[in-house]
Amino acid sequence: MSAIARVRPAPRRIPNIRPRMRRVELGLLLVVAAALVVGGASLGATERWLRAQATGEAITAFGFAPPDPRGLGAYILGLLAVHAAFVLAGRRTDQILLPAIGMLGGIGLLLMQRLPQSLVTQSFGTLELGLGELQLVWLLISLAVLALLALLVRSDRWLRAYKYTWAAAGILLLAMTFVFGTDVNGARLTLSIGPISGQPSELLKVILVVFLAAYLSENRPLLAEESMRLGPLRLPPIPYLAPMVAMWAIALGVVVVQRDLGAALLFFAVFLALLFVATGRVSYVVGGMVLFLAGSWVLYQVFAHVQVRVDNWLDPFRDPLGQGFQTVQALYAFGRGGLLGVGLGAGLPTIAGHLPVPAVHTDYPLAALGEELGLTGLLAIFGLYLVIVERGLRIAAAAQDEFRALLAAGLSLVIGVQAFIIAAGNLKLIPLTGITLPFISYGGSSLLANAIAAGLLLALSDAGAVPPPPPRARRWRRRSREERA
Amino acid sequence: MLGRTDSRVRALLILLAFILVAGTLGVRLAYWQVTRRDELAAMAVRESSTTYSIAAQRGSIYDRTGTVLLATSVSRDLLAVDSKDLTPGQQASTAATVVRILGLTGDAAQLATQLVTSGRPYAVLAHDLTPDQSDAIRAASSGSSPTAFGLILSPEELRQYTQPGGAPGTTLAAQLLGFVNRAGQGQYGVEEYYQSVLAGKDTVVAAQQDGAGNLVPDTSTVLEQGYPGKDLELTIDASLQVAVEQELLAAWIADRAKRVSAVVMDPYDGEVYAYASYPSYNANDYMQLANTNPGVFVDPIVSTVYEPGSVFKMMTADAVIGAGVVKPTTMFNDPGHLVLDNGATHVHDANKQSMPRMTFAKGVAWSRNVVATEAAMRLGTTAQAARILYNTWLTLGYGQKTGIDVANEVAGILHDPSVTPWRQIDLANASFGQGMAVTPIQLAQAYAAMLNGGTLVQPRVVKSIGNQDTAAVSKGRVMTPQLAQTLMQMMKEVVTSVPYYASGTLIPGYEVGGKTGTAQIWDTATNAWKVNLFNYSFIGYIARKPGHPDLVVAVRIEEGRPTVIRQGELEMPVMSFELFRRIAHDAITTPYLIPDTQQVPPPPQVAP
Repeated sequence: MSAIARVRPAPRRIPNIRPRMRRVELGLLLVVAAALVVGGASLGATERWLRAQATGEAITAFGFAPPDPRGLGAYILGLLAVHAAFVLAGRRTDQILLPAIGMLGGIGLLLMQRLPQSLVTQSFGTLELGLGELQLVWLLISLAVLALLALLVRSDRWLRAYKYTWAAAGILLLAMTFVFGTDVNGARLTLSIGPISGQPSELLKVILVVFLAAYLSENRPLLAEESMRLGPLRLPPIPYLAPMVAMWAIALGVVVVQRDLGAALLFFAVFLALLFVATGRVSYVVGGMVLFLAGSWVLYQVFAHVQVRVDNWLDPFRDPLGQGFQTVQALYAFGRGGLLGVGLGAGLPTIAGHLPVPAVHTDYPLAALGEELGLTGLLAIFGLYLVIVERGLRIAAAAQDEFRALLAAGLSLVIGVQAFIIAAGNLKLIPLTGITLPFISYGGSSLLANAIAAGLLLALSDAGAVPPPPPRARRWRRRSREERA
Repeated sequence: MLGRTDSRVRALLILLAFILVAGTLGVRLAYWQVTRRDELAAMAVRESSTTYSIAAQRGSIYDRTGTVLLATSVSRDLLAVDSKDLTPGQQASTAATVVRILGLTGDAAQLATQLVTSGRPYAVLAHDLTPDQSDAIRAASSGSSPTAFGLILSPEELRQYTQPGGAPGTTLAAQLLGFVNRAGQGQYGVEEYYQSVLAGKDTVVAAQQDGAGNLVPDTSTVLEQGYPGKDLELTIDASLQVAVEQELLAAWIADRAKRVSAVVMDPYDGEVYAYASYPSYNANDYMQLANTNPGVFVDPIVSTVYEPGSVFKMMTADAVIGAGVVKPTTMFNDPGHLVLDNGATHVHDANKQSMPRMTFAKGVAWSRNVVATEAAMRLGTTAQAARILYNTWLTLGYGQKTGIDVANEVAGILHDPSVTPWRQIDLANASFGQGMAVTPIQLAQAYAAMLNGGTLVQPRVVKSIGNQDTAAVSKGRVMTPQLAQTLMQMMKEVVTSVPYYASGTLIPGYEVGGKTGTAQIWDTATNAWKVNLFNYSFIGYIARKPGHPDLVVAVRIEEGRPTVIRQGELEMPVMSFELFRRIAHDAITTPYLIPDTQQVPPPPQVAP
């Protein structure tokens, strides 16, 4: 027992691999698989019926085959494979997260399969992949990444010890995007390496959480203590606040320069939430929000594209065929959906192969889902995100030290906050910001980044993981207590 | 010092915040999806529904036999391109394919290439593709390795005028028919006058469309049921029309005229058998002509007016004989010229020479201006005479549209003596057809009344609409049958008593009659009479049975250049009465054109 606490970390070997049944996870995964199969069948039948309507041929028998049964099957098998790996590895990790994520990913897969496949295509040699196939490939890769992280990460030293290195890497990534990136819709978000392109800001959000968790956990006592007053504001000592604020400011600045408002909002919200969790200081949150509102006002005054976004938010019906087109069409989609939705595949997005909402696969999946699944379906989806947040916070509460607690909270928050930001944007609650809906939207980097976050969460949830290294500041005290014992 | 327990409470607070946010989202969602659902759905339907028209087939136009097709509509494809989403490679390939299939060269090829590579969502490349070209475009756009991308073929109607005219480079009865523009609107002539009948009514359909404007299948409902246009059968006889157009071309060349026109009409029911002018045009080329020579579209028979000249002496005859102040046998002196308005003005005969004392009929036959003036002056004071003459013109249909079913008819210009009192010179000029402006169709209509026993009949060019025959439109009796008979006899005397006319007009085996007119032309540019340019007219009749005219033929040679033999005696290769004779002969010998027996009462004989 006491040997663990010695300066030398535990030897890097995997102790006591013993398969451990995960009944809850299996049961939930079977529910998820059943739901997805029913969804696929409903989608296939609806699509065939609509096609027959369009061509005028008579329907002799109802076919319930999903539009891409092999794809759906591969995804469900992938989920079960991850489950099997968890069982075999025998780690006592969370059993709710995988089914929740699997359900969201499956809904996303069905949505991508029913949208026009030509929306996104990519060729690898002679192999040409459409939207649904690409999403499936990315989902499978993400599941693999999630499983690997959940299985292999046993120590968090590599995360907490190199926080400044991670921060530097994140900034470098953004800087590279800014210099070498390609412009899409006026925002420079995409970095292409060979055939694969990604949005580094997705990865950056994970890095930011890691850095914030490490920094806040190390300096929490100092940050929590008031040592400086500025009028009614109580501030922590400048030297301790500075690196963190600088990191945040640089990230935010680069994001603003890149015009990625959604990421900026996400970073800031996660930053404030973690600051609150770490210090318990409501004044930081209030002060931060005041700063945020002031910053937003400045942005609105300075940047034309921010003004467009805000004006669209305030009154999209002023220019329903121009700037407000997408917003208005999304609201129409919500309206058509109603309480129960029109049914998978029966929404307008597929008709004649054209989309009323062009960014339906990235920014507006909720509009399509709201139309087809209705209020009920969307509430269920919100529920799934809440489950993820709840699991993350529960993991945080059970964590063995401050860093792990903050990391777990931050990782789940980053997923939950992102989902709610885009949902609020879709619902015209706040101005629309161009970020993805985690696990549902199309996009490799989004899926990967969220899978990394989920994988780390799972790893953190292991009650039998390697214990955290002792806090440096209090090492002597604990040792003496142990010695006394 | 804060412990883990506090952190746990804070995590709970965060979770509560999340639940609060999720609740807000749910409420907001319910707001859109339940509270405002109907409103949004209605707006979406309104925005996503569209109406479009299915064009009705335009009716065709046939000649009076119903066998000769003069105008018809065929479906041709319009070629457009949507190059918005094409790669540069696809654009280049498409451009090359379009240039090859349409056989474009030079600037046209360059323009097409430019449009295909423009990246515009819609650009029209060509109209009226031949069926072969349409098939080639379809073939190139489909298959496993298409060479053309983003091309759109949409059918549109092309009006075709199938019969060549009597003159090279023209279509038959071009000015009478008019043409149809790209918008499907008839322009000029019958096409314009019968636009609504020919065009039919488009079917209006409402359908749902998605956000990209594509129609959603199976959502269309017919809002307004349309119907196809009706076919027209003209009163024109195609073979006679060809012959008349050929005669006009020959006269136009020989006389170096600006324009020549002729109308052949049935005097009893107003059916126009031939209706032609030269220069004419090819109606299939109307778009090019609209840029180069739009004036050729104007129909000289109904849309241009001129001073008729001596053909109007028949109106004077109508007035004076009808008033009973002159008989055809009344004798007149003709000193060659006449001083009027107390010496302020004078009129003279064309040759400015006196002739021996002659009857009124002879005076009209020799076209003596002095005799016409003296006869008009016998109607009373100048004011009384003016009133009677003017009323006669109105009665005979001058100064108002004849109502012929051809577009753009004009009414002509008459000077009402009650507005501006006439002087003696005005009365004199009026008596021999100077000082007013009339159209050839008005002259034909008035002469027809004199020839059919005294009834004014509206000229018309459409014999049947769909399968419904049109009826003759009578405007009522305008003179007694006796007077009509007298006037016809005078017309006959014109071509029999004057040797010069007789040699150019008489047709063995038929009875002909008519009146010549040679009018000076006032040049508004120089404010002087045009030198040696005249408007020649002849309106006459031809009859197979003596005393029973079968046809009235109006001929006009505009700004012919005669050779002056001596003063008042002008010679042209084809004089107006010679042109009349040719056309009248063509018409009277056209098989099955004129009914064998005209159902009219035999005109009563009057004492000479």
